[in-house]
Amino acid sequence: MILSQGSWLGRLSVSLLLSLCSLSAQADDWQQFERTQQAVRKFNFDVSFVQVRPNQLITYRWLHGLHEQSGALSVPLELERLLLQDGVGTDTFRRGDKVYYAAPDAPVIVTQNDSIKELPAILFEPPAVIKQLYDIVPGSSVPLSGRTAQLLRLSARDASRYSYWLWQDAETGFPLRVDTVDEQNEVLDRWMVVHLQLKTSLPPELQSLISAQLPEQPHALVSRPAPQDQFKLNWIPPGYQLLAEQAPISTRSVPVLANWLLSDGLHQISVFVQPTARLPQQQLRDGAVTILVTTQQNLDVTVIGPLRPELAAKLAASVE
Amino acid sequence: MSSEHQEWLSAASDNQSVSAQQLDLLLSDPDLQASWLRYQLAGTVLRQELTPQLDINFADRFSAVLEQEEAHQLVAETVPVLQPVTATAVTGSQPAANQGWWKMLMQGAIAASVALIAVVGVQQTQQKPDDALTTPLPVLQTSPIGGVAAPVSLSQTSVESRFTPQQQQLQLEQQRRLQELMQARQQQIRLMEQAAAQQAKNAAADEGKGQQQ
Repeated sequence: MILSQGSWLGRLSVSLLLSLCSLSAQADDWQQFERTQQAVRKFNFDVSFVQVRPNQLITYRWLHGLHEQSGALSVPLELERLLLQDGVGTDTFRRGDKVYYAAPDAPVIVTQNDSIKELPAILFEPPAVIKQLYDIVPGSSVPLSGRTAQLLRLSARDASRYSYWLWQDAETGFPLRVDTVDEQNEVLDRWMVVHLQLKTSLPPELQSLISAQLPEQPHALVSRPAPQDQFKLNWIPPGYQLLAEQAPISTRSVPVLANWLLSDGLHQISVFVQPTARLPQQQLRDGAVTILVTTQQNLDVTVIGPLRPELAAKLAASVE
Repeated sequence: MSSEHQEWLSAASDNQSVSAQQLDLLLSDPDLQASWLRYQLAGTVLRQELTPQLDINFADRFSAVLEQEEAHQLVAETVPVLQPVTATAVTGSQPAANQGWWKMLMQGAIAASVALIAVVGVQQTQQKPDDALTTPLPVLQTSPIGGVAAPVSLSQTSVESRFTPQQQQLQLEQQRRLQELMQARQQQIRLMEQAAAQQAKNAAADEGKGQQQ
């Protein structure tokens, strides 16, 4: 009896030890992940990356640097710029916690953000949020652009979410590639650095941004015109929350009767209700984003977000 | 000449008389003797005088012959089809009686299968530019990040010709609507944090008001 109790205790302690080991291993891996997050915040760099989607390949140039401000207690000012490498498009700047979108033939738009939303959110959102949604598993290291890249797999805890495979530069921790994969590990969206130049100081292209005259105040948001009592959402995908305050949206052709924005801290799902155009139900994909249009009586419900088509359909069906 | 011989020989086998000269010929010529034997046998068979009998030792002799026969073993060739034709010629192995047509047939079959693979392969590569990036769902043509004010390029939309103009119009309409919604969503996401900050500020202001009252 004592013996069996002893062995039971032994087994318990062994399993405890094992779980502690795996916990500490996970903690180490999360530390590696945070190294990547810090690299994109703390380094001066000039990077080119491609965004690969089934019928798209877009190349961007991404510059980032820190400007040491004068003053005893000042924190360095983050400067960032994202622009299309080929063709005309929006030129995006960030100075501290303001992001400016300068499109050709349009006034500059200012928003309050401490990261550019068009870059992979996984590189910028707080680790605490990401840890709640993902487990981290280290993979093998592979050569990428002649550098050693360590794979970190962020596998979704909930099957409704897509997983990320992140390859970080073993030496600097800088992200070299981010794949968004589904449960079958099929790549839906690939973000890949094709040129990386780390610099000792602020890239010269960002110098002018320090003193550039830019609109200071973001556009004040108009409070929601009317409560959306007419429609409601009866179901929300696990882990998502309905954002209470939402920016009004305007469309040129068809009015939007109701819209919701759901967020899990990392991803966003949009739901729009419009009068029907009597078009057949449609399912489309844009990288990892599913676009689903369903018709209910005389309404079109459109769901746009990084979720599986079945869940998008369930969400669309929950609109009343 | 032989037919002449056979005529009297055939007659003789039917119990007709033969001359001494003919008899001498028959006794001297082994060919004629063999024919004679055949005619006699044919006659016997025709008269149904032949009793069906099989040699008792037939089975034994047959098995003895079978044992003497060289064993032909069917061994599976290691590379049966794709072995180069020249290789067999060089090794000088005994050519099978049917090798000629077999070889031609196999060559034809290989050529046909290569052509088939080529066709299938091309079709597959056309359908699947990249295995990793193919998806069951059709893909929306979107403009890149410059979505807010950059003109939406609708010319990119691949409208298939098998649709009627009316359907094409509807699809374009749908595409336009989706582009608008995609832009609205982008705007929403950009303003999300700002909205949250503003809400927090408003809430704080409301609280302040409440305390003042």
